[in-house]
Amino acid sequence: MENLTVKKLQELTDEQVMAELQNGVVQAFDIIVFRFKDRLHNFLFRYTHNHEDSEDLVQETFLRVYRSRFSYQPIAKLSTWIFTIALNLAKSMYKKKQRMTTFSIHADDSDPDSRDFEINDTALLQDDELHLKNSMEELEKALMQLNDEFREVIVLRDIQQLTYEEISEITGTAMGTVKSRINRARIQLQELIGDYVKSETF
Amino acid sequence: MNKNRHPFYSEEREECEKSDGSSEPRSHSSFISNSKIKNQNSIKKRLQALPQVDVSPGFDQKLVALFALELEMEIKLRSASFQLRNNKTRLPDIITDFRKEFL
Repeated sequence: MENLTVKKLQELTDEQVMAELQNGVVQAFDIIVFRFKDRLHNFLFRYTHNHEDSEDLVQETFLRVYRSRFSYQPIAKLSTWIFTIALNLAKSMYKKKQRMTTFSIHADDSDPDSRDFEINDTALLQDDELHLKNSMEELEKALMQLNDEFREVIVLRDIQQLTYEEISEITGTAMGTVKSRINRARIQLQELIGDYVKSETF
Repeated sequence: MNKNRHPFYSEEREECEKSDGSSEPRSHSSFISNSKIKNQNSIKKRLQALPQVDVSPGFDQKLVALFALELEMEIKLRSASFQLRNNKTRLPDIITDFRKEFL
């Protein structure tokens, strides 16, 4: 199958292209990258809200796809498998970052110059401005205020438009949990940008 | 009914409008649950309307460079494992034999 041209590869399904990669057709990797790079980046950007991080994660995801190509079984959709890798990488990157940036907000009693770290709740300060600002910006901000579990499912469902089954596989959670998280995530988003949505919709 | 009249028009809303055709007063709980569904549909549509954020123009070049390194690493690993499996065969020996045969 080495003689398959790129044009022929383009006509194949994702799973068939992956089978070609498993057979040693390196050009199949280009096709996979072409098909998934923007979808993955969009998903990871909505999850991390950072271009640099999401691009690094997309690159790492593709390298993992290549390295683990023989472990892929065509019983699962290729997209599901790739999104699972991407999500796991994003989660572990977040864990690393959180470990690196954790610090105490309380004053160190042994240090006379130390004071409690002040936190300004910008969400409250901006409440009145929500009506005036661009709705998309507000929605993006609100999305970042959701916890990781809620954000990942709502991005996969409402932005990437994956099925509940696919999300269940990607996140490794039961379908009922996925549905409930999506529901609660939407309610939380509604609460976060509620006034704006109500004035626009009703 | 023209569905394009409002950017956040929902089928749920259409269903409500159809049922509102009757003069039956709606219960308070059904009103609350319907408004929740409407709000959720609105959120869903807004999320779907968020612009697609693609990779930057330099992405492909970076990935090509990384992939080249990956292939190089793979080749090194393969030859190392070949050497381990066939530790009796060494390249200098092959070259010597080759010289004996043809020179």
